[in-house]
Amino acid sequence: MLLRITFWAALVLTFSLHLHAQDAKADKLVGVWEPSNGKARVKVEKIGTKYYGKIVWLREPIDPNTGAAKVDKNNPDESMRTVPLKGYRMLKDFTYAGNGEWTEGTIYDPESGSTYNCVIKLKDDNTLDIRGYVGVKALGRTDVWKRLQIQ
Amino acid sequence: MKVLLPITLLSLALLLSCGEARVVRFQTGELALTAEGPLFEGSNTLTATYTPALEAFLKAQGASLADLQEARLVRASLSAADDSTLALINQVTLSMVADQAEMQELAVLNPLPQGVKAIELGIAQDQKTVADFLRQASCTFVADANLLRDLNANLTLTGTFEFDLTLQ
Repeated sequence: MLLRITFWAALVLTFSLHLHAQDAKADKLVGVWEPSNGKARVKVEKIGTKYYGKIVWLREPIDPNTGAAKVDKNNPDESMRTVPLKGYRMLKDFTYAGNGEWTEGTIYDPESGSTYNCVIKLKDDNTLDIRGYVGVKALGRTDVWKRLQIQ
Repeated sequence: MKVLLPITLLSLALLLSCGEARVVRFQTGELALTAEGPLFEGSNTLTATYTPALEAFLKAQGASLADLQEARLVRASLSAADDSTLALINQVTLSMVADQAEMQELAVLNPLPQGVKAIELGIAQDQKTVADFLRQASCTFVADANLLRDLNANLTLTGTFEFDLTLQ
């Protein structure tokens, strides 16, 4: 009887440790990241079971044409063109697929108003490959994002 | 004449079985959207998890989840306990998320009026997956609020949201 209880306890413990380790790997996406062009910084956070990234810093936050803070002026929905770019969620709905990869998400390009399918690959703890594509993953473009180090 | 009567009755029955779509208003009641402090100047995320319990609502309307064709957010209100809380914020964007549905921005107010305790957000014209959120056992309202200065406390806004449901 004692052996059976010990066996089940060990099984449950192993399973929960495995889940915890998976969560820890998945949460490596959480943080503030800078795209290669250095124009913005994107904070990735977890909401529910998925990951979302929003712009938290812009190198040029003011629209030279209006003199006001930049807004999502290229949004296909005219009624949402007053959404501020600072705070805009450009990465949406990523789920952890294992092996340092997040899939099923989209990336929005505020400069064109276009949304692309996207996969994110963790190259190392501080580097991401962000691949945006339309339809076929092979026909896309990869950008390298660096984690912003907190001083 | 003997042939016409059954055809007429059959057409009538078909018409009745199809029925016309009707729209009913669904309200969430008051939800507390909260961000845990300390909070920093700039964009902060306030969330409220919501259990739609749509099945029970539709049952009371003589309908079921299968009858739900479309849902649209038609009203989004946010209020604070005092006007100093909203004075901290200059922009708000409201989105919905759920495990089995894609995030969607549904409302925005930029800039916020000053000296008020409650605001009404402007509603998005394009709404694609709202019914999918309400069909879930649980979904989340997300308010991205831009703070004008740091806040060394939690931030809570009370949200009430109304949806028009199109039922067959």
